[in-house]
This record gives sequence, C-alpha cells and structure tokens, in this order.
Amino acid sequence: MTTTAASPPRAWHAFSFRRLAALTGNTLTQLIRTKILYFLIVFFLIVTAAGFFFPTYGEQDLKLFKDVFLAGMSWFTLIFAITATAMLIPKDVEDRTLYTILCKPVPRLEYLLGRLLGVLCLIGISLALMDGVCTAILQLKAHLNQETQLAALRTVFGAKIPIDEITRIEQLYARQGPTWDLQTAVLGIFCQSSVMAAISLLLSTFASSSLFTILSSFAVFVIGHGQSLLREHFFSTQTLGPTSGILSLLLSLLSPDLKQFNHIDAVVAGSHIPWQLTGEMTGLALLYLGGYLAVSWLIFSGREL
Amino acid sequence: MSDSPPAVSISHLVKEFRLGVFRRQVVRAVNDVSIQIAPGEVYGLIGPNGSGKSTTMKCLLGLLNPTSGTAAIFGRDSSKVDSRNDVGFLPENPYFYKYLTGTETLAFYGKLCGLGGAALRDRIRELLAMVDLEHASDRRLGGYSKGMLQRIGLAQAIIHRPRLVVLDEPAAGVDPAGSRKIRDLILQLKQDGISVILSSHLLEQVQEVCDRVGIIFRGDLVVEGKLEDILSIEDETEVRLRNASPELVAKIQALVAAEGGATYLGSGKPRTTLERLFLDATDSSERGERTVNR
Repeated sequence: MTTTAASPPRAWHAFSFRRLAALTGNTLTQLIRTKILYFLIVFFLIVTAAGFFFPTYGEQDLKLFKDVFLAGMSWFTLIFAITATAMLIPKDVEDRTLYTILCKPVPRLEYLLGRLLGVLCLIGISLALMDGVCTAILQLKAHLNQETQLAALRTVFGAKIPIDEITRIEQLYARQGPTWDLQTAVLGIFCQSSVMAAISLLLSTFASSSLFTILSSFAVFVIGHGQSLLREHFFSTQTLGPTSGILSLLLSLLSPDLKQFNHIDAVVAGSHIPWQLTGEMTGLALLYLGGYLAVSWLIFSGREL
Repeated sequence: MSDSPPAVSISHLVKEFRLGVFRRQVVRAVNDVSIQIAPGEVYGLIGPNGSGKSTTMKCLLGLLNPTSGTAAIFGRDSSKVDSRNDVGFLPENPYFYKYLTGTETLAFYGKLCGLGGAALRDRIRELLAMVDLEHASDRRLGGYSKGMLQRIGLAQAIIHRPRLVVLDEPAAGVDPAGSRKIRDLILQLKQDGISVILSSHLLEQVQEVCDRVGIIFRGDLVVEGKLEDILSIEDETEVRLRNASPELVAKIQALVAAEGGATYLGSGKPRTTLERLFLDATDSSERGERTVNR
C-alpha cells in the first residue's frame, strides 16, 4: 500500500475513549504550553508567601493560614476555570482548527467533553499540588505551634504538665491541623471550579467574544453565591405572586447554588463536615456538570461554522 | 459500470444565510448546485472569491446545514458524523495548534481518526517523509513556514487513508516550488485512486491535475464537464510544427486561403508558463548554470 492509498472503510463508533483522550490531552497541552497557568501560579505563590507573615500564633495562626490558603486556591481555580475555558472554543473557531477537528469523525459532544475534561484535569492537578503544599505547611505549623505552647506550659508546670491540658492542646491542633475536612473543602473548591468551567463552556458555545463569556461567567458566579438568599427571600415573602415564583424558579435553574460547595468557613473554624454532605456536594456538582454540558451540546450541535 | 456509490453526490444544494439584527436579509450563497464525483476522480471547483465554493464544501463536510438539497459521501448522508470516516479536509489557510510539533499534530489527528500505537507511529513517519518534513518533525508549528504548514495540513488530511480528500486552496500563498510539491502530492492521490475535490485559484494547477472541472459563479454552477471537453474549441484545429521556415508557414497560409471555407488565424512561438520558467531557472541556478535571454 502506498503512502496515500485509501484503506478499506473502518468501523466507526459513536463514542471513543481514544478520541476523548486525544481531545483532553490536547487541551491540557494547550493550557500548559500557552502559559496561562504560569501567570496564575505566580498569583498563588504570592498568596502562599503572604500566609507566612501573619502577626499571629497558636490556633489563630493556623486558622488564618487555612483561610488565606483556601481562599487563594478558590480564586486561583475560579479565575483559571472561567478564563481558560472561555477562550478555547472562540480560538478554535477563529483559527479554523475547529474545521480540521470536526471534519474528522468526531461528534460535537465529544469535542465539548474533551475540552471540558482537559480544563478539569488541569484544575484537579493544580489543586492536588496546592493541597499537598497546604497540608505540608499546615502540618509543620501545627507541630511548631503545639511544641511552642507545650514549652510555654513547661515553664509554668515544670515536667508535670496536667494530662488534661496536654490532651486539650493535642486535640486543638489535631482539629486545626491537616484533616479530612480540609480535603473536603478542597473538593468543594474543585466542584465549584468545575461547575463554573461548564458554565463558561456553555456561554462560549454561542457568545461572540471571550470577554462576554468571562464577564457573564463572573456574573453567574456572583448570582450563584447569593442564589440561596434570593430564593429564600422569594419563597418567604408573604406577597409571593406568580412573577416572583417564576423568577425564583428561573434563578434556580439558570444559576448554580454555589454556596453548597463552600466549606472553607467550617474548616477554618475547625468544624467537622459530615461524609453525607461531601457525597451530596459531589452529586450536585455532577448534576450541574451534566446539565450544563447537555445544554452546551444542544446549542453547539446546531451551530454553523 | 461499477455499483459502488459516487464519492460525492450533491443534489440541488441551496444555502442561504440570514443577515442583519433581525435576520431578515437573506443572502443565497449556493443556488441549486448538483455535483456527482466518481470514485478516483479529481474534481476541480473553481470560481471567483465569494462565489460559493467554500460554502459548498462546508455543506459537504457537515460544517454548515444546507437550506435545502442533500449531500452524500460514498452514499452516506454527509451531515452524519460517520460519513467523515472517509474524508480528509485541508481548509484554506489552516492554522493548526502552534504549540504542537509536527509529529504531535499528526498524532493528535490520527487519534481522532481512531489510530493508535505502532500503526500510528509508522503512519506519522511515512507521512512526514512524504511531505518532506522529517527534518522539522520535532519543531513546533509556530516556527513553520506557510508552505510547511500547508504540507503538514495535507498530511493530517490523509492520515487515516480516506477515500475522498477535500482541498480548499492547498497552494494559497505557497511559492512555486512548494506549489509544485503539493501538485505532485495530489497526483499521487490520483494515482492511488483517491477522489479529490480541489478548489484553487491556480488554474494551471487545476488544469494539470483535474479530470473534471466545475465553475461556480454567484452561487450557480455555470460550467461543468471533463477538461478536454470544456477546454477544446470545437471549430478550431491546432497544427504544431518544429523548425518550420517562414516560407513553409507562408505556403500553409496560402494553401488555406486557396482551399476556402477555413480561415488562417495566425502562427507564432508557443509560450512556456511563468511557473515552468521560474522552476527551470531556479533548478539550473542550483546546478550552477546561468541562462540570460537578451
């Protein structure tokens, strides 16, 4: 067979992991090589460095560190999820690379899914790395603070520190140090970023500019965090009319309830997050992802290129 | 006659675009175009800018939805994704991912077509050699010249060994030597029995490689047929002589006048094409020869 000779017709499958992996891998490569990530890493490093210069000690030091670090993670992934996703489809259309992809036997849903998974993979990898750094620093800080506090007690009680006091200090730092609840908060950040990436992808399937997509996505983010308050307001108002009801329903459908993914305050306070809540949060994120992806597909499948 | 379905079957294709804020302005880009291309045939689709060539091709590739009419590739509805299993496409001025190397680009498109493993690696090596880009296989596409981009584009179009290749201005912006390479690749496709749709403004190239040509103008297919049929001038006869003296030419002219019925239209030196002159000149320069016409 010569270099250009045709092969016999091949079997085609409506879904292929190889195609999906190729699209996901390409998105990952694109995001890494186009240096969007590096700019945000610098931003994150500044936040991390700031965490070492708090004029606090003891429990307060750990609380403040967790607060700043988790907030940094949250903003880092949010900005990345929205801006990176918003640029993917418009750039493919503008550069005509989309023609060469969709002229291959690639269903449009697979293209969208590959793009989204690529972004989510990179967010996941970034979060895992940041989580590792956060956990290590927190472990170190907890250990140092605990030792400092015990040393202070030794100066008061000598070698015979009351066992109750030791237990209290150990429990305090076990609660404020690295815990599974901290991992749940990080999972919440991942869920929120994933949902925002899916919204950004949806908007970019019909938006004419990336700027519109980015601004609209941030608007959805703001509404998403106040959605539960607005909904409560509509439902609790005595004069609830049909308009308010419809508005409330629309709000619930159009914007995600992002408060469900925010466990940062609870973790900073040292509270325990039940496993059931973690499960519910993950399920809700998957539901939103599926829903927004389905709408994206409906819009994108009819789009003319 | 073969029972196999035509490589391309476009029937009464109409494509309208709605413009304006309220989408009330209707522009008909393609008007009732029907084209049949047999397996192994090279078909040239030519016409001025904005005549509807690219729109016709996009409808065929499922990138645009026809307003009415149908398009099929080897008997399969071209709006269905599986029909693209048999097609390779090189768009006009393609911009591939600049951050990928030549090898990575072909690997990406190969995987989209279901290829993988050693078969894909071998195919990539084979294609890089075919388009003469082995030396640049590890270089990112951001550093490729226009001609190199067109060649890697052609390689990605045929990575899965399609039975139909659609080329939209494959030699646009490419120097004559690069254009010749692309022409040779199209001839190779033709030799291997691949159907090709070629849209180009380089009419000489179209004439060299195509079996049939369609001229599209303002959305209408105004001329279509085999090249030898549409290019021959039915009421004229060409006589070509070598080393003919002016006296002989005068005798022929007198004979034609004496016979009556026919008209002697003229005589002169046949001309080469500018492309051939350029290539001959650059080839001889490479060999250290120099020719000056005074």
